[in-house]
Amino acid sequence: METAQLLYRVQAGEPEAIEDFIWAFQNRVFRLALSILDEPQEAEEAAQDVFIAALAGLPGYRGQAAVHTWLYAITVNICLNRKRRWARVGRLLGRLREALRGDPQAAAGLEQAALRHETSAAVWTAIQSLGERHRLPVILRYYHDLSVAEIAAVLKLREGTVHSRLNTARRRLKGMLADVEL
Amino acid sequence: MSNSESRAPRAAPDISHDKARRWLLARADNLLGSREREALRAHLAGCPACRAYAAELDGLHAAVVRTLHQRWDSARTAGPRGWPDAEALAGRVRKGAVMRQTRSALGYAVALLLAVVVLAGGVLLWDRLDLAARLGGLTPAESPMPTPAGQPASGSVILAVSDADLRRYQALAEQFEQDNAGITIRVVSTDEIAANNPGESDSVRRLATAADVFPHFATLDSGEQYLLDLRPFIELDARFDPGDFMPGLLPAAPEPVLSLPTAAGYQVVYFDRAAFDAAGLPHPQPGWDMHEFLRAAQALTVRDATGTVRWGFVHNQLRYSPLLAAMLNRPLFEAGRLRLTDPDVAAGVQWVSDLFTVHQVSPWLEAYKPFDQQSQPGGQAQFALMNPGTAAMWQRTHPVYSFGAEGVGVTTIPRGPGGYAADPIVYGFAVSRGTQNAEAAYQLLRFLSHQPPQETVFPLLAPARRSVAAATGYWDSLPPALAPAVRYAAENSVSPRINRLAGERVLEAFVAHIEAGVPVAAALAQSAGAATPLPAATEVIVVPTAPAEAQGGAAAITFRTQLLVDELRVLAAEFQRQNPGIRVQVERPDTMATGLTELQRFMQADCFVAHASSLEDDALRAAVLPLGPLLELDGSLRLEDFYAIQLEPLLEGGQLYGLPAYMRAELMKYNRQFFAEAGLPEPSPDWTLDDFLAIARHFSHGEGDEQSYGYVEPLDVVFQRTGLQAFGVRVVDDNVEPPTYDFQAAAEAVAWYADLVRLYRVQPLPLSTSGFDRSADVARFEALLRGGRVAMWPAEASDIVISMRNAPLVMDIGSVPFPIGPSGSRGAAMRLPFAYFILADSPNREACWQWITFLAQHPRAVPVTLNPSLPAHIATAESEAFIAYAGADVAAAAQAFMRSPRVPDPNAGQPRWMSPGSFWLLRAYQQAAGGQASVAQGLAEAEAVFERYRQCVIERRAFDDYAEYRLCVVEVDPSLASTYPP
Repeated sequence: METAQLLYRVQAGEPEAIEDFIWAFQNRVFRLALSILDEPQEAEEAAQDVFIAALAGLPGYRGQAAVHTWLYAITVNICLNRKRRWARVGRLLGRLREALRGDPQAAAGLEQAALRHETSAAVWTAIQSLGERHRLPVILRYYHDLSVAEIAAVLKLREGTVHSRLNTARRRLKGMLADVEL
Repeated sequence: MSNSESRAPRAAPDISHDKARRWLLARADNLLGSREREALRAHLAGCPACRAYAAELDGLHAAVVRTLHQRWDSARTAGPRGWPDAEALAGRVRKGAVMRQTRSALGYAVALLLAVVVLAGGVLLWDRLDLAARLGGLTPAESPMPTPAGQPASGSVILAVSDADLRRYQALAEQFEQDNAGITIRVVSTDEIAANNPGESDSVRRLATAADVFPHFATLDSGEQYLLDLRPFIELDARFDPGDFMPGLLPAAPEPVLSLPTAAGYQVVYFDRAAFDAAGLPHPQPGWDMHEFLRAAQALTVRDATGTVRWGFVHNQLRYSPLLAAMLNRPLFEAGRLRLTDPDVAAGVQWVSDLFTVHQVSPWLEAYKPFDQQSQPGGQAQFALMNPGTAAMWQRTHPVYSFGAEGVGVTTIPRGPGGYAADPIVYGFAVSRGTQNAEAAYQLLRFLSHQPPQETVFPLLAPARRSVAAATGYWDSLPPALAPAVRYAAENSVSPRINRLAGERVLEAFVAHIEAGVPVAAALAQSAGAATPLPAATEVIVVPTAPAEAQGGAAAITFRTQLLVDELRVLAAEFQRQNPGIRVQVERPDTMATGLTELQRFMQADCFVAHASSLEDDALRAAVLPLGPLLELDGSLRLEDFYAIQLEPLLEGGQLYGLPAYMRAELMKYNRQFFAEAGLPEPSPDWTLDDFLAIARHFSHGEGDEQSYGYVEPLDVVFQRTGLQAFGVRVVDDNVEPPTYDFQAAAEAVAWYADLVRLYRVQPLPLSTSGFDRSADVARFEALLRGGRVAMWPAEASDIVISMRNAPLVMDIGSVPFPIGPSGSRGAAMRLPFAYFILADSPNREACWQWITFLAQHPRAVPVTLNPSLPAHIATAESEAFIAYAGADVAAAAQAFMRSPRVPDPNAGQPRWMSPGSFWLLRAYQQAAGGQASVAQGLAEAEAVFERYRQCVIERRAFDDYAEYRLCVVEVDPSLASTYPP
């Protein structure tokens, strides 16, 4: 189904259309939330907030941006707000969350699998140590494969600024990984 | 740079280095127009430096993409249950506004309450305790630290907490300091200490070697051997009232007390009220039992023709199953023994398993299995089911409660045969066994246990102490639907029955029984056999007191390193034990500081480890201390103790500017199966290029899909890295005046390397000719390598493949240094050693010297992952300890590499104006390997071009004038115009 048609049905208040709308975009929204929050459970909750906000804001959506770009922008906002609300939730706190929410060993295992090698660990550490303003463009570019124009729309920045932040991020990553054979 | 077609230059090849690099960055973001791409391609074809830069960018791009996908792609299970189904989600979305209102109102109330409590807490809840006076000089039996006799506790204590809580704990620390004169608290970040190598599992050890007091989960955390047993302190603390703690949170005597609880999360059962109502079942009340539970689960499980549409009960996880805990008579671990074969354990495992297999009221999910056994690791499908509609009941902890009152009720984990038991999650603080201020640390701990939980991410966390719960009005703050169950759980808990080790074993038994049908008793017996004892407390650790608080005349030094941060922190503790007068703080360079060069980030410390090539930076060379005098004074080390190959780059003008640290060896790898099947001896470290060629030719045979190669080098660096050196080529001919470039001296080397491809076909023709995008060659190499069709290859090539795929090579692999060329050298111009440097203006130069000489002689102070580094200190590199650490095979190959004679740089003594010669030489090699020209033709052409260039330089007298000789370069070879920018 055409996205425009789907949005029209949602805006018209057709109940099934909300499900279709979520089906159509949940994967992308979840992945983006996960890549910002770095925790599946958190990302799920954030994704739900995104759809709540999106559906609430849909009447005001006039097609000024592609739907996924518009949803991405909402996702980024909601995820960053979550992060801000919790300040920088650190690793030990993450462990607390895992212990209370689910299986802490599985979380540790997931991390170990992702970081089995020195190189990956070093690269991940380097990405983590970028500030939010540089890390987000890197994630959107390298993980979500968004173009600079799309990143600019999502983050509400000028394209030149996005490119410049990506360049800064690359320079910092290179510096931090100077001693690592990539 | 977008829409840049119209701005693209018309003359394609003529761009500067700077522009080429800017365009490479633009290319990485798909911002280049077609003309710009063309111009860039032309530039790169003639510019090795920019090609190298492009390769770096491509490598970074690939590494970032790979790392991010590795991290997040597996975090999501595919399939119908991998995500809350859209219908349920849509329902929740429709209800969203209500839920949000509820949450924010609750959050506000709790935050306000906590703010009041934190402000008042110290006065209301803390009575100063002069424990040391009462301890009367007693040293706890387990503590390796001396205790000052009869003195009030004093000294400094490092408290580590999560980044998110730093501010709140800082405020508490100040309050504590006011009440406890003589004790200073330094609050540091656990994330900084424990998150630098998040893949490692020994975070407790890292915390225990960096902080005196840090957060701890009573039964879930490993690393018990690094924690101080607090029981002796508690027993001698007359004012300590165990009864103030909620039941089950403090271990019962004589079990050790490894942490003092501050908070607890209780396991509860969430249930769908409507499902119970529709089935005519009463809502379960706190204190219900297993029989009532099972009846409800059976009655509420709904199936239709397509399968189960609503589960009676969904487990959170099975490693620490509260249902199993409820079925046990007493803890699974007792006095260091796992009692897996006792009858109540078998009965409990059987009962829980029957929920999946016999009664079929619970879904068996991949997510329950040990991580390494999951077909899609990291799945958390159980959470998707924990909603009204998909489950009638589910188990989670109480602090994650986020429902409105309308649909979801909460009750306790049902009582088992022996009463109520549902392991709470106990969160608190532990003291490092390596603390040097045990009494002060204990006092801080006791103070913290009197505070409400500071981890405000979970405002519903229950305080561990009754007095704190009463003072904060905790019970009244709980949502009405939650309060009765939590209160029942808190009042009736017993000590946790399943700890980390027991949980692992029980889970194995569950999986063996449920998936493979192994009888429960046999499965448990099998798990019991696999159980490993708890690690003994053999390692001595010491918490390094922070430099700011170094006392008693101790020198405090900061040491910066990019690699091995955690390892070096452990070594720092070992060093401090041997050198009590020196405190070492190991840090990463501050990557967040702005306005600094990379080297300046290192230079903020007293001493650091970095590439020897850092000395090329004038500012650094001026800032570091020449080490000759210290070396002489020390007397325990001599220059001859180090491999020359690692020492030489640090010597300049008779001065030693850094102490050699380690260096990665240039190794070749080989598939042992080739040699075994052919009955050929494996290469020895002293093999030559002739040996190499004979072996490579022997293993190069077949056609098409059957073709095997003796040697594959997907990155095409051998010629540039080792080629000329292995042949001992010196390209500067200074027998004439002015000197000229001796291309013929390189003829043998060029021909030899080109023949590997052209004549002997021991390696395939490169797929990529541009030099910077080698992905096609790497992909082909990987296919050939994993297919067992490559006999020998450079180690770094397989390192890339292993890292890229995150998959080891399944073959028996040998290591050997690169073969010795006619020069007697293997060539190693591109491998740079690391070295330790001391800042000349550091007030702690001697302390730094002691530390770096300790590191230089320590077998574990070098990175050995994948292609390993070798210590520069020969005796250390050849020590049994290092060989055991790195592996005998690899260590022997690396040693042979380091001992190889190093021949002069091929370009040694070359005046700068002669540098274009190297570009023309490389072009001759590329043409010969690619078949576009013979070696002789290529070299003759290079020679002719160089001679025209030389005459131009002579005519213009441009020897020392870049602007002038650049004109000559462009005149004879316009393609180098951008390589030699104005």
